[in-house]
Amino acid sequence: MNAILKASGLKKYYGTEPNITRALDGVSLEVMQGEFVSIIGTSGSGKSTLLNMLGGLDVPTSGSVVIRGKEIGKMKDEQLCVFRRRNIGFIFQDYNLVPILNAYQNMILPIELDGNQVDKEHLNEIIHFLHLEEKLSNLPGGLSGGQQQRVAIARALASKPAIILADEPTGNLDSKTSQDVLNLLKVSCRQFHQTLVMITHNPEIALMADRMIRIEDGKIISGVKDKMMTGGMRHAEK
Amino acid sequence: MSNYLFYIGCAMILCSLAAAVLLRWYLVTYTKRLLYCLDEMLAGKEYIEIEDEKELLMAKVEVKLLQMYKLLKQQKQQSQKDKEILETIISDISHQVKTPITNMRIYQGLLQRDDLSLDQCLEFMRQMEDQVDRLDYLMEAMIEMSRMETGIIQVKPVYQSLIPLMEETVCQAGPSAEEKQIQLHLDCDPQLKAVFDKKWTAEAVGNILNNAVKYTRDGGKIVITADITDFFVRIRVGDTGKGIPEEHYTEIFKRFYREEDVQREEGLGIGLFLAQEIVRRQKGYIDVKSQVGQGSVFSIYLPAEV
Amino acid sequence: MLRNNNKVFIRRLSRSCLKTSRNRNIIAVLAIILTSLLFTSVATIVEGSMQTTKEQEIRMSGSKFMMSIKYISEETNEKLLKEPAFSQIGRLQYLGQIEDKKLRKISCDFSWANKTYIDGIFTELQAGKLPERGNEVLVDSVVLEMLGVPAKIGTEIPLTYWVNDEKRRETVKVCGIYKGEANETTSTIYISRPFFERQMEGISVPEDGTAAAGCILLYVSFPSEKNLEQQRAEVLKKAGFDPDAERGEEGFVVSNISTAYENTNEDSPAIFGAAALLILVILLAGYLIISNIFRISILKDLRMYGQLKTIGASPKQLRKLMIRQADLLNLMGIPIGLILGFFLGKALLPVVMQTTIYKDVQEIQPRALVFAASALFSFLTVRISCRRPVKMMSKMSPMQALRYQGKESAKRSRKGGESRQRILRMAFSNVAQNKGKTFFVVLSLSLSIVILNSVLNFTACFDEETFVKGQSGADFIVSNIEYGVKNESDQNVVPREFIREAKKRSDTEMAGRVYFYQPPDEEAEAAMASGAYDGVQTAKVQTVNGKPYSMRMEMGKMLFGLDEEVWNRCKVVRGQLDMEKLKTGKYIVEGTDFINNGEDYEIGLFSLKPGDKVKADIGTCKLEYEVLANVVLPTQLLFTSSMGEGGYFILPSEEYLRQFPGRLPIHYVMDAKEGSFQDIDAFLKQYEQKPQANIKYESVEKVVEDFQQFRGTYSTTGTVLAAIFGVIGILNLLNVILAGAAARQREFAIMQSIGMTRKQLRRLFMAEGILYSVIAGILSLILAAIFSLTTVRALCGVEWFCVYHFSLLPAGVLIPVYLAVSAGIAFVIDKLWNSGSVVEKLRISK
Repeated sequence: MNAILKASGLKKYYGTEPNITRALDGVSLEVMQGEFVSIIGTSGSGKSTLLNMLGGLDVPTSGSVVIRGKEIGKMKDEQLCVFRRRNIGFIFQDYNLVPILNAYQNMILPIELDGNQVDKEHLNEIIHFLHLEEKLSNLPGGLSGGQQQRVAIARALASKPAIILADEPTGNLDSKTSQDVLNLLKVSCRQFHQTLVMITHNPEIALMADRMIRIEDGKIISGVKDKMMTGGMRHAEK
Repeated sequence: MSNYLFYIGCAMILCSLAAAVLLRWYLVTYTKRLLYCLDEMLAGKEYIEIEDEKELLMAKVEVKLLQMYKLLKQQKQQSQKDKEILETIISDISHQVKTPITNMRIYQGLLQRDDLSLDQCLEFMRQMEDQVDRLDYLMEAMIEMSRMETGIIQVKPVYQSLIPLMEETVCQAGPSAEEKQIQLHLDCDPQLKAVFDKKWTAEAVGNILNNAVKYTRDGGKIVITADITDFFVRIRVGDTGKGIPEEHYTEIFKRFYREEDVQREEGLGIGLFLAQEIVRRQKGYIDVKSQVGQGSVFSIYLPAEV
Repeated sequence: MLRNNNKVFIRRLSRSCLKTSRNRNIIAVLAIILTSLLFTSVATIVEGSMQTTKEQEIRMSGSKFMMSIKYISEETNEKLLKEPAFSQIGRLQYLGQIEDKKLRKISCDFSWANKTYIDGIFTELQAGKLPERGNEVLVDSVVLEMLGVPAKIGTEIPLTYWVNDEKRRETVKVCGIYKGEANETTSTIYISRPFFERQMEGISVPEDGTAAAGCILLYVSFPSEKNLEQQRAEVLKKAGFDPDAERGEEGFVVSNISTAYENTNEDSPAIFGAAALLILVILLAGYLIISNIFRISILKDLRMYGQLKTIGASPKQLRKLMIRQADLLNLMGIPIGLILGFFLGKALLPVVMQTTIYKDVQEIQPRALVFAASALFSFLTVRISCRRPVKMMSKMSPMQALRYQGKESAKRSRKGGESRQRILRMAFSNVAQNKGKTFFVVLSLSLSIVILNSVLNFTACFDEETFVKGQSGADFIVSNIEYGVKNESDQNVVPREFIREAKKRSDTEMAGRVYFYQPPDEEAEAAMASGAYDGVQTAKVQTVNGKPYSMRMEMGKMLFGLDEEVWNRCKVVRGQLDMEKLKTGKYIVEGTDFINNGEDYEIGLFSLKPGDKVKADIGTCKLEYEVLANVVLPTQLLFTSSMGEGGYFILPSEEYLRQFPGRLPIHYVMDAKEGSFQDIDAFLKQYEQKPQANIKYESVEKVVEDFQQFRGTYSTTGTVLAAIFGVIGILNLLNVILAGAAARQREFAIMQSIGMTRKQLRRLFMAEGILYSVIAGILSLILAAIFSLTTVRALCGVEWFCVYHFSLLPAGVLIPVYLAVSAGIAFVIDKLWNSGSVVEKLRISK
């Protein structure tokens, strides 16, 4: 099966020569459909930049990102937004909930953006699982960090995107809840054959993935190929 | 005045004609796209190009179609795979069934002889019983498999106390553990309640416990605990067995999966799969942590409240 | 292609957006209200003034009819009416002229007219009905008063009247009374048709273009007001007349286009130009505020738009979201603005009309077109002002937007200082930081100050003395009561009794007589018949320096006689005004009027030079004079209808009386001694009331009143304009202070959390607000000074009654007002915005 997500030679430089910062320095990777990949690295290693590039939120200095056979760097802003809405669900480290909408409205926003019907049963399941029933009508300002994070996760799952890009999705949850939430992510991904790329600095969480990519100083140091041959590839391909 | 009306009328007719033509063109292009997608899918193409970056109704339809196509394809692949494995296993089982039956025939023939001592008779009877056990086990496995295939796992979770479940499963596992001189420790708060279907959950926990017993060396120790997390009641089964390598954490729950080095053990590799299936249907999940050589911990998470 | 159907979220999100940014909405709606209010009021005023001007012109012309065809016979009438070219036909048939001693002030016709005519000339029936049978008449209330008859239906009046050359007598019965105007010089008594026909028995109607008994005067309107001249020509041609014929030529008929319709298009370009300019200014001001508000609010919400973008909202959707919000705000603001604007325009229309000659304002009805245009303009303003911020927003990449925290909050985490200076310095740096915003606010505030200062400076330069001097010949000018009403100047003279009385007074600085003779109509007619065109000629120049005088077409010159005292009013242009020489009777002076009532004159109007020898027929004598000087005189001293283009002759009264012995003066001119103005005024007022006085007078006081009203209208218009800009400026100020408060909420909370007191915060806030006004004040003082020295001075140079002097007083008065207002605004916003606990604020701003 083809890779659903393919990045090649991604570079992101800030500044000019003497004081140049290389946030990403030639990163290439492939993610298969249905795969769960974790990206691990210390803070400042470029993992968030990489994730933003994969989702088309940031423009690389050079290199390309191809999603489902389409190079997103070549799309216009308008097209990219529509493409993103249909294919990618983001879970941000700082949630990025729309402050003027309540939790429920935030969750269904990506669905409404595309003018689609909300799969109520599915959504209720997610809400139930994430224990958000009581908080649905709260504005993000009235939610704790953990609750906001759960709303952000619900938002990413509700529209059943093909790819979920998660940036420290459990950063604000205690370790027990983190496990639960991650498992929910995994379960959902299995069910809808979704691809999950997750950033974390926590090795324990990273290990839950099919494959773990380690990134340091803007470069991938391990995890691009080896596991793909054994674990990930096997279940994905056979 | 009437001239004006005439011109306005003409303009309106022209406009509606243009609108009709345009509408037809829209519908034709729409249908063409749709047909293209369907054709590609019928041809079973791996990669279908869709216009999912366009703000069009068609694009939405295409995205949904593709989603369904992929899902169906995956399911098809999965069932194909399952079927193949099933076939090998059935032939495997047939072979395995043949041996005990042949053996039993032999023992039966031997028992029909007159010149046997009581001890010998008893020995043969015991041998036969072993064979029956083995048959029984094989039958059991086949029943489970058929149940799985026909999908008759129908859970009815209710909010109930955990302790009877725990006791039941531990009791069931008791004899085989005793046989291997394995200590069983149960640590469960009697107040603990969770949402689960007792019969099926008992089977799931039992499967995990049986596995633990199976892969723990004689004289080992199995600890069963239950506690509560944010959303779940967690049942942990920890053993001092051989452990599971990290990379196989997700593999072991797959159907018919068996570790390379345990192939000689009895089993079909459906115990954990079944357990996970049962737990998942109750909106719970199972995870595992292990260190090779030290032992493993399987955690069963059951919803703590409705 | 079939577009995606994803509009629902836009509706919801825009509603949520509106709900959250309440403060922005209030200001935006206010701005929209103001913009549409200004549009509507300007449109209403323009519409109303055009309507009023038209209406008044029609009213002033005396009839609604577009064209008149006069003095025609019944046959011609029928010929004309055969063509159905007219939408309205008013018909008047002249019988004769009333003769009555009591009606000397006016000329009164005795005629029959149809109802269309009577309605069409704005006849307001006070009582009764139109005459139908017998000797029933419809009379003017003023005429009844003059006749001394009770204004009652059924009153019988004996009347003497002329039908052609025949004097007749009849007693008529009043069947209806219509409202008369006090100063009207003509009136008509309408008779019934049977009465008219009886009177006309045996009289034939000549068709020679003169007012003979029985002639028909047609007053007609066309369906369209366009190309009236052409329509007139067509109608006349069809009836067999020659539209271009002059009097006396074949096919001539007296026909005129009403003046009210003649020049309807003349002044509209100016009005339209002014309105377009004003609308442009309003558009600009509205644009500035609204776009400012939207820019600030988008910057404030930029993070949110970034978030929306990351989850897949496309720029197009975001644009729609913004525009929908703008539309919703429009929906709230525009109707209010339209209604308020209409009433404001309605209220201001009389003020505006004061600047024109049409003071009598009509009731304006709301017009759909005005509303639609105003709504469209406001709507466009909002849409246009949205464009830039929306574009900026949709261009930004999502990560950029996400990282955006507001420029202000990134800097300055200095400790909240204790000293006043520190606060002032902080205020300074805040104001200096937003150069663009500061510029707008300061500019709009200063604009109003500069406008007010310039206008009031200009009106203050209107010099009363100059104006009065130009608009009046003397403190008092006494004339005959019929002066200006009737042409017979031999009777329009100041009575001897009055002059005797006036001469007795010792409190006059100066008193003198002005003589003028105009031959009676019969004489003028005779002159006309003999080929002398100018009916008012009194001196016919034969030769100048021995050569025949034919430089100009003028055949005659008006001849005035002045007392020595009045000669002092002359401004000598050429030659020497030697009174001794003048009195010898050998000299004559050529004079002309001041132009523009001022100091100016046109030298080209003099056809003679001092030293020229003139031979002229004066009266019946042929006389020879030498021109002594060229002088200029105030118009008021001369004859009202002295419209002659060229110069006129002036003789000293001694010589004048030698030629026209026993003449009485047309004016008696008096200047009061210091302090005795009131006495003379009282004397004249009293004398005027006497039954046989036969005088009227005009005093300089009336001119002063005129002047003050004139100046008042200018000041009011300027003040209204300044007020509009002032409101815009203050709104901008409000806007910028509020925006500052919103953007720096977190910063303020932090400052407060590290020990800045509420009081200090408020002081900082108010210091900022006041600072804008201070900068605006300084800027506007400079600008106003520049304007005063350039534009105002230039304008003063153009207007004859202006004496320029420099003034910054209005600006000086307005600036403190703005200071107070800005401090007040800052105070109120601080109260509204910065209340609540520190923690709460920190939380909200997160």
